Amino acid sequence: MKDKKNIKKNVITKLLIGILFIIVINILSSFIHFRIDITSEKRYTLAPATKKILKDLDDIVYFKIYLDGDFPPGFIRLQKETREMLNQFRAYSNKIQFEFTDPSKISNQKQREDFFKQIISEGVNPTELQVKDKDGYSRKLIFPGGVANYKDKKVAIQLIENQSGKNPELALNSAVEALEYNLANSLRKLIGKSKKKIAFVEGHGELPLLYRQGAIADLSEFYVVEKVEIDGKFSSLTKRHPVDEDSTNYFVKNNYDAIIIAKPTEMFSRDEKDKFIIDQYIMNGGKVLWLIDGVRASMDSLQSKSQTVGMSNDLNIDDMLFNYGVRINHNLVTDLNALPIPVVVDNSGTQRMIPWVFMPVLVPTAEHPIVRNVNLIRTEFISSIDTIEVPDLKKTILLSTSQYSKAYNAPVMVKLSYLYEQPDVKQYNQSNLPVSVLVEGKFTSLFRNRIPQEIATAPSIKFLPESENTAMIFVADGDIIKNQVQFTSGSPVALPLGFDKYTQTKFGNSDFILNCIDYLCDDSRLFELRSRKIELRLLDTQKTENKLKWQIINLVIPVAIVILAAIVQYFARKKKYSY
Amino acid sequence: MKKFRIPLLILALLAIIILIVANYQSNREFRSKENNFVVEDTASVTKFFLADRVDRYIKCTRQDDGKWIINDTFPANKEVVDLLLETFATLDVKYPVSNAATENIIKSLSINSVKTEIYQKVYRINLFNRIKLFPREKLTRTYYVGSETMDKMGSFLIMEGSKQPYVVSIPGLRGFISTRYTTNIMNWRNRNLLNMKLNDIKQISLVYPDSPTESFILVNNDNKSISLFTHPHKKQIHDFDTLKAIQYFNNFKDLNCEAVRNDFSQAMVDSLNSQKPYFSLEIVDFNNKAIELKAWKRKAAPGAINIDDGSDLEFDPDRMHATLSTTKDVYVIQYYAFGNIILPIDWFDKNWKEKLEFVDIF
Repeated sequence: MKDKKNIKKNVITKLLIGILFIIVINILSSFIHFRIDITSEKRYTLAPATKKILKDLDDIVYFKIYLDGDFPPGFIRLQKETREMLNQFRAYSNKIQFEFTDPSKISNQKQREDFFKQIISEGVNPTELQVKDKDGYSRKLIFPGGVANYKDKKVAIQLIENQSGKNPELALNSAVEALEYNLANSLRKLIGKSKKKIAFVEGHGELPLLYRQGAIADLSEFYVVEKVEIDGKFSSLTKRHPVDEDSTNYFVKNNYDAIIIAKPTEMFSRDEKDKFIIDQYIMNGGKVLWLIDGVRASMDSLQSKSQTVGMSNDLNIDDMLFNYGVRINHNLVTDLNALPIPVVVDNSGTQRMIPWVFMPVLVPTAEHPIVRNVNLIRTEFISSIDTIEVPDLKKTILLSTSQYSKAYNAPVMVKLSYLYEQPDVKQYNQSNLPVSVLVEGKFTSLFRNRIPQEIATAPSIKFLPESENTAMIFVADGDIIKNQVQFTSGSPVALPLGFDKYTQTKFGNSDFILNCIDYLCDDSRLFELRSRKIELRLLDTQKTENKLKWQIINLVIPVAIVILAAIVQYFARKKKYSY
Repeated sequence: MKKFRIPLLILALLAIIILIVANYQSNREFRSKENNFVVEDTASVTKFFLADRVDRYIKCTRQDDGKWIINDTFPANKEVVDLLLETFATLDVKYPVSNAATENIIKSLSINSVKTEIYQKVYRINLFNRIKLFPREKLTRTYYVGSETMDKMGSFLIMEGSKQPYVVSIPGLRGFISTRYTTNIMNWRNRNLLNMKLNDIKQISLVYPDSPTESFILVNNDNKSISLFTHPHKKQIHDFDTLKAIQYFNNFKDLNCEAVRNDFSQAMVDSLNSQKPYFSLEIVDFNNKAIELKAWKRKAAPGAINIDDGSDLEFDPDRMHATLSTTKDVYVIQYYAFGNIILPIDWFDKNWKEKLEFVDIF
């Protein structure tokens, strides 16, 4: 009797201790965040560049993220990932502080709307969602982003870019992929101790200032942006310093980390001086973003006339580009995937938006950090690019047209009447024509074996026949960097780069240009985060059609295994302990 | 029990680890004691105390009837109190002050800031906000409110005992909050001078010392009828507009002053009292309690001119000084606010409007 009581007491004590253990372990696990990153894409491991930025922090960085409240599952995932990412940041730097807040929680409607306006003015754009509540469906604004503060500076963080036409699930996945880059990039913007210098080259009829203000505004956040007129002067792009005071020997240093040649319309001088200076800038490790039109045509010429002729844009740099491994063709590429423009369709002045095949919308599909997760890109009168086989140079196609495109060699007749014609798909039989190319490696000077010996050996010139490792990006459209202009009360105002006033859409031009310059200039390699890819393991819709089968597999089979094990154990014990 | 010693020891050890980790976690969380400025439940605020560095202070206490009283003396201005309570509830930390600026900000807070103490009604026993027992008043927040930031979009706040100041604002507010924590008592005092209605008033005497014939006495006969008398002879006027008289009684609802003159010395107050007033208003309630309001014309500001003819103005055309028999203060009142009070006896005449028209025509 006593034994039975003891056994009972022991069993109850064991049970209680067991329950207590489970409770205590659960409480402890809610406090301690311990994680081993076993994901194939190492999604929970910070990049070395991010770690470096975090370790270099010398003051508090405070993130205020507006991602709190009731969200659909996709946004909950983004919220969770953002919190995780910031927690990881904290693990590397105690200077990181963050808070999640719900802008919609303010009960006073006016105050709430004022707060929304304030957030938008900070630079965080909202996303409108349809949410189901007890009264049915309602529309809710959420702000997938936040603000980071450091000392007296602050920057906005936009976690989701509005990627037109992208599946919402994929857009959210892109946001998760770009999370580390976006957050680390905000730190880079805030800290920005020594900004790198870039310059727009002038003097060859390049884009006027008014049309590059959008790009300058975007680039100025990260770089010191200047303009430079070469005008045959060596010192415009490179500085030659004597090795020591009495020395006749010089070392050469580039003035800029990168230069942008944006839509030149005039020939590079016949005496080739400017070309020589640019060439030697490249040979000294300079980076160039070339935005060159193969054909001269513009929408302006169609404003007054109903037709225009696209003529070859002879800039006297074909030999130079050829030497660097590319050829910008003197053709106009038309594409069925095009930007609509407003067109008067009848005598009453009714306007309709009709796609204009001479303004292709490029869909970045290349798996390269420059174009990964970049929105559609707006272009105007583009040409195609051919790459040339040059040893020691690696070429990557960044942008190309859609599968329904066609190139017309210059001179090309451009008529507005094409808008009224139904395009014949069969005509557009050239697919994926390259429009932008990244070329990396060791370039050979265009002037190698072409200049007199005294110049080639002059110590003050320090001619280099071959470059160190460097990179250039070629885009066969100067308008990619051109912002639109709106006239308000008679004076022109530059619109943001990539914003199309007719469709009221923000295209990815700004991101593309920023990425190009980031790629060319960024030595912190933070940029590599852009190429991070997180596999979206969605359910196979074909397989999920057989729902019952999978439900049975998931629910019944595990239970059946447990029951089977119990039966086997029962009979095994019966056999073992029976007399 | 001996054989359970080890598991129980492990359990105790795990419990200790939980306590340590929980404490460490609470220090890591951004919302910690040192930046939790928000008082979500302002209905539980029983008292708040504001004090600046020049010994001016405001003690604002909620009374049983829900009204607030300033420094145990004056009724509080409801709008100002409500605004500060709303501020308590909606404060939002914009960002912590950077390490580089912390020292300077703390220095500036030590020189120029308003200490804020908030007292709330809390319960010694509070189970899930349902069972609440043994209420008591408790000091729940003490923080210092400093000046505004350079961009005027936030104010510096620091919790007592903390070394980390914060920039705090209200979501959506384009401005700063430090002005709401004012210690100027004049901003807190209720500006209401009179607040009575027909049923409360037994008698009204309005005397114009410079025009006695315009003075009058109105008597409320137990809310059954109204009598009008001349002043000082108390000659009854039988034929008058009783509707206007009822309206007149109701004009004493919510009569406010523009400001309290806290810059008046006792000598100035005595000097004012020794002068002949522009009008003297006496109101007697049904408890025979009398309140007297006297008003004097104010000297016009130097250089003020009459916009009609360009002549120099002798008196301020908009404001008067006034005293109330229940306080020692001098008030600034507006002709605009008292326009329905300062009326002549003729106004009660049924033909008052016609008379005016008659005058206008000829």
